Amino acid sequence: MNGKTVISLAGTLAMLSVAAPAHAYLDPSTGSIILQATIGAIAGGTLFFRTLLHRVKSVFSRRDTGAEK
Amino acid sequence: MSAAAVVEAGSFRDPGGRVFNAGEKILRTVTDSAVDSFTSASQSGVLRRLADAGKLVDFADVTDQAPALGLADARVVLSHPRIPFISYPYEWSFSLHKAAALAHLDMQLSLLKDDFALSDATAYNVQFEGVKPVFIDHLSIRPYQDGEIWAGHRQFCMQFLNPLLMWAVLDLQPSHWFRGSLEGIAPEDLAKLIPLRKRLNLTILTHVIAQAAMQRRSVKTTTGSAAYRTARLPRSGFEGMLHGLRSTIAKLEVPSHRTVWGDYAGNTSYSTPEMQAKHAFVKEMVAAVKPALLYDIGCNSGDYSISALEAGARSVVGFDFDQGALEVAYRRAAEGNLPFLPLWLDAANPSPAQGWGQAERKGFAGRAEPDALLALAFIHHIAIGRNVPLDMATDWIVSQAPTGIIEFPHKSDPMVQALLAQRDDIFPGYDKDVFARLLGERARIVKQVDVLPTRTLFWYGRS
Repeated sequence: MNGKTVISLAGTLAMLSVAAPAHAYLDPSTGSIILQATIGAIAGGTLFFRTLLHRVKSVFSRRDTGAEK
Repeated sequence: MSAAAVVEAGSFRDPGGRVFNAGEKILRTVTDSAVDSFTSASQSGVLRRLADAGKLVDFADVTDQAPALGLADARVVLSHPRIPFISYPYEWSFSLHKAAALAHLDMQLSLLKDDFALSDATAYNVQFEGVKPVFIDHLSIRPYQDGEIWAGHRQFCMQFLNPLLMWAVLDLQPSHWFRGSLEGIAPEDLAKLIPLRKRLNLTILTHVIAQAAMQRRSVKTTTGSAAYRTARLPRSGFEGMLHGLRSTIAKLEVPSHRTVWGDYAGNTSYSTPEMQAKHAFVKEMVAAVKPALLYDIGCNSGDYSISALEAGARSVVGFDFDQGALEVAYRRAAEGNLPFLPLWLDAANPSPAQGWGQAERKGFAGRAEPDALLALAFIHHIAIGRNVPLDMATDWIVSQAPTGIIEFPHKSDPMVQALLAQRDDIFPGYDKDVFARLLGERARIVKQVDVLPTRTLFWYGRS
């Protein structure tokens, strides 16, 4: 089993986990759907940590400007 | 009296509505299949807010006039102001394309906050007012259903991300490919071009390489297609993908464009008496003609486009072959918030009419009706650089606008000599007096000025 097979299998499994309807005139194409099902959760997590990091940073930068005054 | 509404040939893909040309106005119908989602978007106030912020082209509900307009079947009819010039992604510079991509992602993110989403991700729905992106498809804005997949993801990749990556990662202009493939550049194709060492980038690895692998695999197997329709993307995942793409695209730049600003900055445009004379002549013509739309063919970094605006032209569309010059022009237009749109054009091979019925995307000719044009230091590039006979070159330029200024660099001019340096002079007819006669046969010569002993500017008028 090569790497691509693993990626595709993981994607298909992730995709089948939950379901919601999608309405569109556009054909989203399967490659994109599998990718979204696979990386959607990761992307959401990354965003969560990035937002958290940004908040932590902004707390410190506010303190820095305060100290200079 | 309002003109009869003529259907816009490029508006057929979404059955939810059509777009019509009606003189000064653009009309949009909303049909049965889209009326519910349009009403939600309209009643929520989201459309009005985006239009007031200048992100969505303005609209007014003119449904009460539908029968008079000959659109009685429509559930809703909207009227829009006309955008001065419709441009296509294969005519955009890197910076224009990047601005369009960011505007698309920002609109999607902003809509999600109000529980709406864009139903597609076509780059043709982004147009420019000056160099400011404006979204033109009101029917793409639909209620967001929690957990729905991003239906436009592949389209976003093909029409925004992949061309930008091709530009930034491979230092290749994607316009030629995009013009030949109106749906954009497929991940399966781009994946083959990206060398191994450049694949170690999260965006390229996922949106290009992995997507291409999955797409290739899914094409081979037909099983499970019904299951794909039930895939789910959590809202946090959707927002994460949009933010991820946004931060990647915001950082992209073209390696070969980095030095460009410095190269052009030294050429201050009023630095010589010749340039001052050219600016004065341009301003004189523009002040007399007062064009609503002016074409600057061979606009370079926009010196004379800006002069035309200063003299009263309402909007200018510039065209040039040099992407570096277009980048500088973009930056000037953006910094000055000018109604100036610099686009890429190979005048010897302008955009054709193409797509379905060869009418979906319009060709360069007839796209708009400019009131005047500038063609400064341009004609020798096609007459000598591309072997177009002088009479044909003159025909082409004069046919673009009823009046304008054409600069004729004589054969002894250094710009012309540079083009002849590597080849035989097979252009005995390339001569100022011959050009003056050719132009005189096609139009009235209003005025002519020698800005240098080797450069003559002709102001022509067809009427």
